[in-house]
Amino acid sequence: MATGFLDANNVPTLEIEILGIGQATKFTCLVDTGFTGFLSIPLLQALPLGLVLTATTTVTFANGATADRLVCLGNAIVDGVTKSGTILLEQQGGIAILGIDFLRKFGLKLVVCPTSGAVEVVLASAAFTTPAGQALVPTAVPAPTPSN
Amino acid sequence: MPSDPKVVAERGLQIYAAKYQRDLEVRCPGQYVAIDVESEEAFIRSTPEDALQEAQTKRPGGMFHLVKIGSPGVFRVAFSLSGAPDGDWIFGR
Repeated sequence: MATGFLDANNVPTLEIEILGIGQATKFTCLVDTGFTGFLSIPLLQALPLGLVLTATTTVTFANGATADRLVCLGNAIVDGVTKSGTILLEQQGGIAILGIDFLRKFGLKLVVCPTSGAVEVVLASAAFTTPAGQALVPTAVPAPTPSN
Repeated sequence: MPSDPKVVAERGLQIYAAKYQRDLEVRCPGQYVAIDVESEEAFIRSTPEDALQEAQTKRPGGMFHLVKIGSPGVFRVAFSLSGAPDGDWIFGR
């Protein structure tokens, strides 16, 4: 399964390939579970891929504001598996972002280890190590023994 | 055909509001519609990519505006480097 890492800002990143017209190109994507879409990539990185601009759409920000974006259809590749989806094009910035629809289409779930910085996507059918419904409560730290 | 994405989006939303919104919000909420901003034709499917694929097949070379029926936006984003939401798409004004 594909692996990634927490970047310098503690943001999970993952390397995937995006396929436009011709050869697939590797992208290191920020994994953003607050993004409901498939992929978002900078416009300047989309053009060399040969992605064809086909539409505009409206996105909603966390504060409820909306904005218009260009969108195209494209393919992404993870571990040799190819899936199609809509790709938002950002006119600024240099960061590719992968969203929840990407994980859904590939049938993957995200596993992040904040201690080691390891990031993995594994098959969604794989069992969680924590049983469903069990709350993740931090282990209680024993109070220090008062010293005289 | 308009080449400025802001113009395409505005035109698409105008067409949607005038011709389709009232009916589609009753008949197929939560689905996706791609509006051809030239022919004003609508292509409705259950996923955004299916709506765009259908639109491209029926109207090759067309320019479309994608709407999620009943929602203010098709996607929710938490992070964007493209400046103020209300700024100009190209020049950021």
